[in-house]
Amino acid sequence: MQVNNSFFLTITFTLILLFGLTFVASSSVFEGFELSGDPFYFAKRQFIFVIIGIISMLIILNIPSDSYAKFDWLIIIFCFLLLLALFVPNIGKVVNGSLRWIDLGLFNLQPSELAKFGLIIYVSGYCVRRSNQISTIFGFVRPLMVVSLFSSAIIFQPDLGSVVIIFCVILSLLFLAGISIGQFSLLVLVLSVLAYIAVRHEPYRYARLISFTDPFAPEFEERSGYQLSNALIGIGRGEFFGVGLGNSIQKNAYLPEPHTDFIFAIILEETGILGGLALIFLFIFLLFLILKISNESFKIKNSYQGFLCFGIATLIAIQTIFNLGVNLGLLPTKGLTLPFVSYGGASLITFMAMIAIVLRIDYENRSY
Amino acid sequence: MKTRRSRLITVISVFILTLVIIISRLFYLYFEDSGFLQNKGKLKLITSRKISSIRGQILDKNNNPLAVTVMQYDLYGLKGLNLSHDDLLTLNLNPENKILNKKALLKRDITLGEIELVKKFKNNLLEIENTPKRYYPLSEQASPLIGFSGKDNIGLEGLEKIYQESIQGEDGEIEIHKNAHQIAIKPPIVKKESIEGKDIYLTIDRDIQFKAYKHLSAGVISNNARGGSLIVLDNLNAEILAVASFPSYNPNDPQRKIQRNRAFLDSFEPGSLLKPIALAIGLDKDFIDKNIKIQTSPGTLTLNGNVVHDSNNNHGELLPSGVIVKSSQVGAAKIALKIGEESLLKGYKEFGFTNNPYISFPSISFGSVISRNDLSDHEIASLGYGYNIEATALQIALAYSVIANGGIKKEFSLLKNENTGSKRIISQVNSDYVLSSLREAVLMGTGYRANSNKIEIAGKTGTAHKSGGKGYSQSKYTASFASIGPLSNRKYTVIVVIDEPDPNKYFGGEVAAPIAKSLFEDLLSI
Repeated sequence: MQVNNSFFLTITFTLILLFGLTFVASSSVFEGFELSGDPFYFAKRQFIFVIIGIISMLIILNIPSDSYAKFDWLIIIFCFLLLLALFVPNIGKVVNGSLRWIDLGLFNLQPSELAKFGLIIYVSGYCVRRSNQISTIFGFVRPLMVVSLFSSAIIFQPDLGSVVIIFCVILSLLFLAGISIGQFSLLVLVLSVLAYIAVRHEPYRYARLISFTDPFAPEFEERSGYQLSNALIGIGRGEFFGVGLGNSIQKNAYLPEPHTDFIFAIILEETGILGGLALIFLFIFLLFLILKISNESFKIKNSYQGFLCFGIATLIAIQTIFNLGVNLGLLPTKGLTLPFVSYGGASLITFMAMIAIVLRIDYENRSY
Repeated sequence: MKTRRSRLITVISVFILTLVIIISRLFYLYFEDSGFLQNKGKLKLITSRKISSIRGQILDKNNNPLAVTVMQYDLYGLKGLNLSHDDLLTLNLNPENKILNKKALLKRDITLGEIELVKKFKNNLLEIENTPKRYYPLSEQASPLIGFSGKDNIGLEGLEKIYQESIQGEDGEIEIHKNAHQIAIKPPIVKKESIEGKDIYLTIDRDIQFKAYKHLSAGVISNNARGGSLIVLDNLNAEILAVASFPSYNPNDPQRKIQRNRAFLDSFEPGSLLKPIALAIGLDKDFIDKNIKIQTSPGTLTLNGNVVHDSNNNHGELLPSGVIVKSSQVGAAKIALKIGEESLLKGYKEFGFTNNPYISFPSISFGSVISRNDLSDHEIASLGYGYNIEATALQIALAYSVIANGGIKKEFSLLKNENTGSKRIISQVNSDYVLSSLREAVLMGTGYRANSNKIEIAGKTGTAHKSGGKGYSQSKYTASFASIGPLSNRKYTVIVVIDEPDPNKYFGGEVAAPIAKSLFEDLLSI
């Protein structure tokens, strides 16, 4: 076997995937039992998603990477239709007051997960096609209009977290593609104001925003600070080496969503800082490899592939950072999954598909 | 190309920076916050529950229970319980709120049937807690002595209060780990075992206590008296067999109205009950000769302008024993004057008057005596017939037990198997002389109503004006009788004190002696 980028990427990615599968199994025993009487309800489903993910990866590995550039308009329209479909009665499924899922029987599809990916494909292509205009006002407003269209569909679900991620990823891509610092700064300012309005407009968002700074304050602890305070308790209990796999107490109904948004807190409770750091370094190595592949693509003038890998890396990085930040009480509580680790079919399969694209690009780089 | 490189480095730097922040936060939580967080977690997870220690029993000399602890089961509902649930309707609760917003007592003292029913519901929000409850089998017969304990295992009255420390034991503690749905996630952990309280073994005899209370209460009621007390001592073993006090109360009733233990707490002027003690002191200190008669004629004696008189009777010349038999005030006054203040008070002290009786009981009385350096002759004389000195029924009974024991003062106890000392305070001869005078007093003197053809009793009557406000009351009396029997073995000392009997029939011989007699006859069946 050749020891190359793909080799390391596959190993790292597999390790993260196994790490995630283990903790989905461990953290969801109570929730699974409560829901269906089977403590491994979520673990079994997640395993099926991994199988579907692997099948998707095998398909994607056989698709030349430049075909995404050719069909990006098709992909983007498909993603947008899915987002709109949510608002069609009887298709969208409301969970915890948010309209985020389309029930596909076997699993719930979260169109915003696909939309993130779709936008990366689209904007990467745009950066290459219009590389000369990108620093002009018109050049960078056009992709932003598409992004804004998507964002408004997502923000009415409501899912502010995904919108913030999308803007961060797209801004990173445009920044790399060469928009002027002035435009970039202005854009950041405008988006910040919009985000502020979005937060102030919804009382629950504002409550979460201020409660994350002190989740144990009496007025927050049993309300908006409930999730975070219980996540932090789990982290505190884990100390350096953790309480041991399977021994988390917080997953016993104390911490809501222990297998999805707050899985990192359970990982820290059961394996301690040691386990948390191990996972973080796996992610760092994964991102390093993807950025390395991205750089190699730029070197051989495959700019589209370069942008695509960079976009994928930033999406993984930003979503991971947001999720960890939320779990550790550095950021307000948002419903964001930890890539490859959290339970959830759409998220897992989408991220696996992205890794497949990166592997394909690395393969194309090597055969250049 | 060059811009892209520098911009890539910028983006990567931002990532690295955020990662540094995240990892720092991880260590901050570990080093700075984990104590606080773990504590918070414990508060949510762990519920501490007290394991009540079982309060020790109080037992009589034959190990019959006088105070026991039984379990009471109470039903509690936890926060979030819906009281309108069909299951709960069968329990006939009267909920104020439909849904509990905090833990609440639903029903006290549920039956075993209800416990089974509740277990069948399998409702996690229902909890049965068992609390120990105190029960007193003798009820009002012994309550002024035994007292009672309240909630939380605290003795509030009587022996329950005085022996609280050894009887209470120590509470234990268990920890229950519950998940957020209040379901226990592992078996309870015992943090501290409870230590059972020690049992207290008394010298009290349940059967004698029963008889004592029966005769006392009947006597108090039939004499229209305010109250009374009765003590039975075992002279041979220096044990207190019964301490009855009336009126009494039911300690098992939560609405009980406490009544004091008159036998230990009420001190009164003993009157004539003290004459035999004064005589014993006089004989033993050689102030009095058994064979020299005392002139009581004309039945009055004027001292310091006060007249001492023998109930309008002239008894003439009396032997010292005759003073006891006739209960002559004049005779007793002369005996006291012969002994003198100093020796008399010293002698009384030796018999236990004004001393701590060394029986553990809350606010037990020591009695008192007039104490000045320049007592008048009248005051000294009055000490001879039991005025200007106050004693409890217990102290008088203990003094009479010295006569019963041939002049030996034994230290009596309420606790079984307690080592007690003894000390001779008067000679056997003198003691026996006083005892035979007491026998005569029953056979042919004021105590004739205690004369039984079933049991030989020796005793002395006492009738004292109660002091109140200014001087002595002419209609309020303390009628008493102190006695020893049967003479064959002098086993029992019995004292009966009746407080304020009917003013038409108030003499100790009329009121108290018959009570003692019937009790003595009853004791024969023990």
